[in-house]
Amino acid sequence: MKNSGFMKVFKFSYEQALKSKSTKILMIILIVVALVFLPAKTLITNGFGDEEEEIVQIESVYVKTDNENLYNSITEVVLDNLETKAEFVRTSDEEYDSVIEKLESEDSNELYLDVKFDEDETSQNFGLSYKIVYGNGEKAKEMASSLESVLAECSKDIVISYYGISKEVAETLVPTEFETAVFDLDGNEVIDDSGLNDAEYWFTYGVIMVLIIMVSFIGSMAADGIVAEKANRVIEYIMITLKPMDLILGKVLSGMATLFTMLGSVLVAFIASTFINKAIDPNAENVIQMVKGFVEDGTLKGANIVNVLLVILIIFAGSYFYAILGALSGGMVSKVEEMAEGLKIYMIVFLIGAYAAMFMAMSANTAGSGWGAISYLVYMLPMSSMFIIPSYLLIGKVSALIALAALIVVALCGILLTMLAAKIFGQMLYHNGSPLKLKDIVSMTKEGKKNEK
Amino acid sequence: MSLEVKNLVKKYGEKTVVNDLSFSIKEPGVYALLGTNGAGKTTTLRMILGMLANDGGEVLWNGKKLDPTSVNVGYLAEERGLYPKFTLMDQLLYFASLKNVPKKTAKERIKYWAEKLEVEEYLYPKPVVKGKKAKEHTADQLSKGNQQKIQLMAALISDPELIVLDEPLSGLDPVNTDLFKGIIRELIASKKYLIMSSHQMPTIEEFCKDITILKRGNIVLQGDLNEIKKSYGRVNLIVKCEEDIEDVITSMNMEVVNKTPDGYHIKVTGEEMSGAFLKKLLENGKTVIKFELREPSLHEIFVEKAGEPDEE
Repeated sequence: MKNSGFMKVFKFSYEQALKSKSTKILMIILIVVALVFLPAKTLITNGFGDEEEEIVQIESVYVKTDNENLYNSITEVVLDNLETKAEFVRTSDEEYDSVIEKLESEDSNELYLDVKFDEDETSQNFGLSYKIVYGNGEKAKEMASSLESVLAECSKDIVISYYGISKEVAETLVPTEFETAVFDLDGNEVIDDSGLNDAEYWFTYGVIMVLIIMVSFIGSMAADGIVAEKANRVIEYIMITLKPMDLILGKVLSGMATLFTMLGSVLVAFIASTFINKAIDPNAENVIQMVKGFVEDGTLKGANIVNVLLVILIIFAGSYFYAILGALSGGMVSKVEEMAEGLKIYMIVFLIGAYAAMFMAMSANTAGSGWGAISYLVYMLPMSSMFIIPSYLLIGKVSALIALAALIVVALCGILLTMLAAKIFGQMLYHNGSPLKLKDIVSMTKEGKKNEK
Repeated sequence: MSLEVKNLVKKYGEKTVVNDLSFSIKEPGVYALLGTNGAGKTTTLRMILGMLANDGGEVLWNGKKLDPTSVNVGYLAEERGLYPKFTLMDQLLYFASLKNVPKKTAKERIKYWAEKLEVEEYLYPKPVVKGKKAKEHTADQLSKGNQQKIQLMAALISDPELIVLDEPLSGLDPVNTDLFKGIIRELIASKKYLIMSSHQMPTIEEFCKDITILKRGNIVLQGDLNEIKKSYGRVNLIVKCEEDIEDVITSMNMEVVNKTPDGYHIKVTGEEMSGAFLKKLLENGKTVIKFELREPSLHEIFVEKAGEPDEE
């Protein structure tokens, strides 16, 4: 392995990439940005006396239930968990219209909560379900969302309080999920079952953005590596002892290694910056607290060893897929200045993949997933899976099975591209002239088959 | 050791660029592959080196298929190339590693060839400020001639048994041409097998015993250069007299190829004709300063063979 051709190409290309001035400058810039971004933001915002985030103030909650004990349990538990004080008023069906009238006013800080409770022990979720009705405006919607979150988190405690049982017993008896429906004044149910909450959205978007930056570097690095060999005319010399696959694999893997080295350094700098930030502002979170927070608030509910491993593998396989596509694109041209033309196919594939993932995350945040079968296409396409699967798997939006299927697809596509490269790369490397077109690649493939025979 | 090229064929679509080419090198020395631009020389060399797949025939080294990954081959390509931004030492060590040359041996050989080719100052730069590490040279800091020397070093760094030189002297000034010729002589003396392609016919005549002339992929002439020349006979006559000899030439219906300050270059059928011409000159009272009868040069043979219209 150590003496194989591709390892020699890999070692030399990787060393030279790290030695190059442009890599060093880029790395220093990225590390400095990652290192100072959070502390600088804290210093600037503290300096300007940034106002604290406004907490939604719920004034009154009209609770409709026939069960007084349940009403008391809800009042007690919810009041303990709401961020602000609120008045709980028990109401009935007869008063519904007058309550709705109150909610209709623009500056209303009130909500209507209809609690259904079926004490039949065979009922699902112990028969506990909620219906929240909110008034006009964004503020009312936010209040409903806030109450919904508290009810979702505390319903177990409500049942414990209602029955007067211990937490240990409750763990074995009480189901963990309770149905909470949120309605607007027109009676339309606001469905948010498959969408992303804010934390999930930002996490997904952050991961997609990092992966997009990574892929855009990987493709151009691999293409640059190949076209430089051709443009510098070293290709004829090195191809006496190297097979085309040695060169392509060496270049692709060294490009990936260079990028992972850069990202690793940036990650270390970012981790350090969170600790510096914490030292400047005690209220800030360091990276351990951030991850802990993500896990505790349920954002990273899919983060287990198997899923993390799948995420690493899919990022690696996706990067390889894009890198080999970039290398093939580099092989299509003979001069560095023709690179843009050579990278056309690569850019189309990359843009389709990245935009599909971005639109999916965007629409999931604004209107629930709503993509139906198309979402499976985005998960499975080799050009988009590496962008969307890692974050969706960690936040629990897709199952490990879907991620595994996506991994198999992207890995197979990478292997197929490698096989194609093996067939045509020999001829592509000696091509010296105008950029190759897709039809040239097809005829080279046929030629390659003929030579094999 | 021997190299045998048997019935080599290369086609691009319907076009045959090398057609049934065969030759062999049984002894150390330089074999010349000649032809006009586009005759198929570089394609042939690439097929010999296994860089291009052939559509027919085979290349044997010691009776076995030549595999450049197992046979120690050195190659100076026509399209010279170096990594412009990498240091010279880094890239020479990389090229050596591709040929499985241990780093220590590679460094020794780099030192040896750097001295021979007079490029030590670029490979072992001295510090400008005493005590400070000298800045290593990159390829783009070198002149074209010096880059060519580094490329020759790369070709020879593995101490190859078979050396392929594609236009080794093109673009060199007379001083560096002599330097390169000295290296070629040293390689011949150390019993290496060389294949050389060149458009500089005097250089070929200086080094090569056997030649093949290609024209559009086909062999138009092949064999021992001396034998080829002998087969043409002494048909080139150069005559210089104090007086004008135009009248004698016309009276004998002789073909003047060229008229230079050196004299008249005349085509003759052989020694008999030239003897008769000399007699006539003397009879006409001409004072002969130069009378040289010689075989045709390789240049003339090449122009005749590679330049004549296709037989179609």
